[in-house]
Amino acid sequence: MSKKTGNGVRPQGVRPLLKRFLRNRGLTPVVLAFLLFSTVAHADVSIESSVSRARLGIGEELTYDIIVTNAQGRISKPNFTQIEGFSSYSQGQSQEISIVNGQSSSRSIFSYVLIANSEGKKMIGSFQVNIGGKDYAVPPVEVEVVRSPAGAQPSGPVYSPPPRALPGREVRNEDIFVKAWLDKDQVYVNEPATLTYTVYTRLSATYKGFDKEPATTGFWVEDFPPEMTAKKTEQFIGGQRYVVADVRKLALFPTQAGVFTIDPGTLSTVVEVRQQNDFDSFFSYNIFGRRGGSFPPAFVSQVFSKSLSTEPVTVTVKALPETGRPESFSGAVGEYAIESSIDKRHLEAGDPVTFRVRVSGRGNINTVQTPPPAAMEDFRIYDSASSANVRKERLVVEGEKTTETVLVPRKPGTYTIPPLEFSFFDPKTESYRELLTSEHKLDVRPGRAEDEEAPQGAPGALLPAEKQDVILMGRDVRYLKTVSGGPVDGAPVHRRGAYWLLNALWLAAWAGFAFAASRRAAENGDISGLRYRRSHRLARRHLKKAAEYLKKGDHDAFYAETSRSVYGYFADKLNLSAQDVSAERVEALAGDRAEPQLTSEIRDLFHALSFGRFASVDKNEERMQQVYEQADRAITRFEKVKIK
Amino acid sequence: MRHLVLLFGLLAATATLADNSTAFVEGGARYQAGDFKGAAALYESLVDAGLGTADVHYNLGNVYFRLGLEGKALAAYERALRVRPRDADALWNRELLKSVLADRIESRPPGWLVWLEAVSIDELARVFSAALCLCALLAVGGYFKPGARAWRPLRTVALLLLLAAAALFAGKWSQVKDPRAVVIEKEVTARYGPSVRESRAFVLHEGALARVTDQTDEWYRLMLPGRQSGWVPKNSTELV
Repeated sequence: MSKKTGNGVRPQGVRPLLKRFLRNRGLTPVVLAFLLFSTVAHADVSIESSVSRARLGIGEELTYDIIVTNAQGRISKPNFTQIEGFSSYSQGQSQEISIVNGQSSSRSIFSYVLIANSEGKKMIGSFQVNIGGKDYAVPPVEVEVVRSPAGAQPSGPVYSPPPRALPGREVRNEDIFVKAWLDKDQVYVNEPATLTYTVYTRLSATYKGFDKEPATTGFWVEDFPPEMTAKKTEQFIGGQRYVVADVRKLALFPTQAGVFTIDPGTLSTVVEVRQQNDFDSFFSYNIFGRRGGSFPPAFVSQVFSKSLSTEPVTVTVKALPETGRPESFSGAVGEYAIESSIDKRHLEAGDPVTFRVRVSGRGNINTVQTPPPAAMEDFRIYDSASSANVRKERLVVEGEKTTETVLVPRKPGTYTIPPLEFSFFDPKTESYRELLTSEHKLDVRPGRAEDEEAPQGAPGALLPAEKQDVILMGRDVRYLKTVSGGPVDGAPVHRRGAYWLLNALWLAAWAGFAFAASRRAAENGDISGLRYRRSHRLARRHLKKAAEYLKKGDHDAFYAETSRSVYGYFADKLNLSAQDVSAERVEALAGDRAEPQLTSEIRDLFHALSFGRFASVDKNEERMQQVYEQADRAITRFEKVKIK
Repeated sequence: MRHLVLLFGLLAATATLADNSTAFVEGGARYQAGDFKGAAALYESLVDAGLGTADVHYNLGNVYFRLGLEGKALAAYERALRVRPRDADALWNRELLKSVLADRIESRPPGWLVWLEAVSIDELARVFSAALCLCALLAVGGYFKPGARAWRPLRTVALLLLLAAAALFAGKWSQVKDPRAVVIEKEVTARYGPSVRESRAFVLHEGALARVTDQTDEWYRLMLPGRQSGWVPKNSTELV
């Protein structure tokens, strides 16, 4: 943007110096003139180009410099043209001149900021620079643009030039300003006032959002969608042409009466300043009288961040009038319609029917309360669903709210759902309005479940009262205890030594007395009990051994073992010695507690055993098997006989 | 004359009862008057004096709840239920309180152990001791009257009772052996170690109840039912 083409310095009397003029608006005309009249020492011209980075992601920026060294004569700006895949902005020009021992050298640097738009390998250049009337080529540079690098945010709109660290005074407040205004000075509670932010600009500007959001305490805020608001018009103010745009609209619903001052906050904009408006350009074009082909294209421009703030706005909120306020009024302000519907007219007792109430219209629909359904004795009533749908397309807040209630009739009959009252305050007419929904008839047939529940009594009999569940009104903690008692929350019982000591005492008593009892039983010769208890187990053990001998075919051992089992068993069971056991004794002692069949079987068994043992002639295996089974059966059956 | 003695005895009994419950009754009056802080101070003094019955803790829970101290309220209800685990009021209030807490921590034990929630460890300790006592008495009976036929089934029943009581006691003991702590700050960050330099594990909110499995001078290690554990500063929690 800045153009400084002083091409040399008189060598004599000037100390070696290095000067860097960056955006040299502050340069005084004296220095300028001094530079203009100087001559340049001999040196070769060289032209380089450089980029701050060779690889970058989409949306990232790089700095592209064209460096002209030791130019003689005036350097015009490079014919910098739009580069495909980049947005470009001139960042200005700087110049360095140094004179050492009479040798002067100069460097002019043209800087551009390039923002990558698309990926791929890109060639920047080549451009032409006109120096002293001769064109020189700028060597091209290759850079690679990659898809967004890790962590880099895609930076929204492509047009987001990097804000330069430039003071805001570069752009005057007359060039761009914002007005925040309300469409009404006075509103009723819950009547919307629209707050509009209008930007007036003489420059090319982009609205970037809010640095500081407006302070809207005391209001319910509905933001209108931005695409509804940004319409540009032109206006002349004080002889100047301004582009005017509403950048944001808010609907403010006051929640209480009073006088409120709203701090509108601060907007952030980016302003693009074209070169032509620049003092320096004006200066250089006229002094040098050259408007060559190297005149920078219009897209090369300077961008600034600019914060815009404006005066607070004040609104007076009036309370809703007390007079004429209907009983059903619940705070709705605006213009509404109400309707109700049911999803079926004919149903059985116990079947649910959905009762729907829909309020629609203009106003703060989110805070509108639909009227609750009337209490109906013969119905169980359940709230089910409520939904609100807010629309802002037409720059008014409107929408609808629907509440569904499920009604379950208890008894058959014809019922009427009574109409519901709904009222709202209409700020246009400044009056309350009342609406009624239509009533609905329900035809309820007897249901299956209902028949069982309510049997019809005989004529004149007392019918049971209609029972109703106890309905919980709200949830809260139960009340305090009024009497304190019982144990204290302290160390638990099992942590006390005394507890385990007591347990040990019980254990000791148990063990001691059990042991003493068994000792005394043994001493008193109460062997019989022991023998009685052990008899079956012992007999089984011997019988098992006998089975092994049976398998081996050891005839003598089998009979010996089987006899031991059987005689031992009856001896133990009847408290006899083994020699005393005989069929007669068993019969006598068992008495009529044993069945006759069992005693005869036992007699047969004894017989077979003595026969097998003493008359060892018949070594028939089949016979042994038979005896074994006999013994097994006898013991099993006799075990069931109660002896004692 | 006899009536007089009876009267004096009765008076003495009520006097000791009233002595213990003056602060209790006064606390109720303060609560009713809306002076929750005063009520809390009275009930706390009762607890400090070792008179913290289930009723005192229950009332204290209500007071804390009214003061918005959800963590302390939960701790108080837990104490009340530890003494009297089937108190319907305390169960109701605890449930209500839990419904407003921020963290969803499933504290019900799995399976049949749920049943153990309804009994206190003291009750099971007494049942176990009683079963042991029954066994001992049967042994004594068996010694002095050895011939009776009833001993055997009675002994079997007593032994089964003893085993069941021992199993239940052990189950309950495993539930309550670790102390529990309630978060009493609005939010506390649990860390992987007992220091603010340790990395963060999770965030607990007021009223979160967890078992304490370890501790240092200033930190508790909390174990959540989901086997997650983290260290929190002691002063942000209260032991139940």
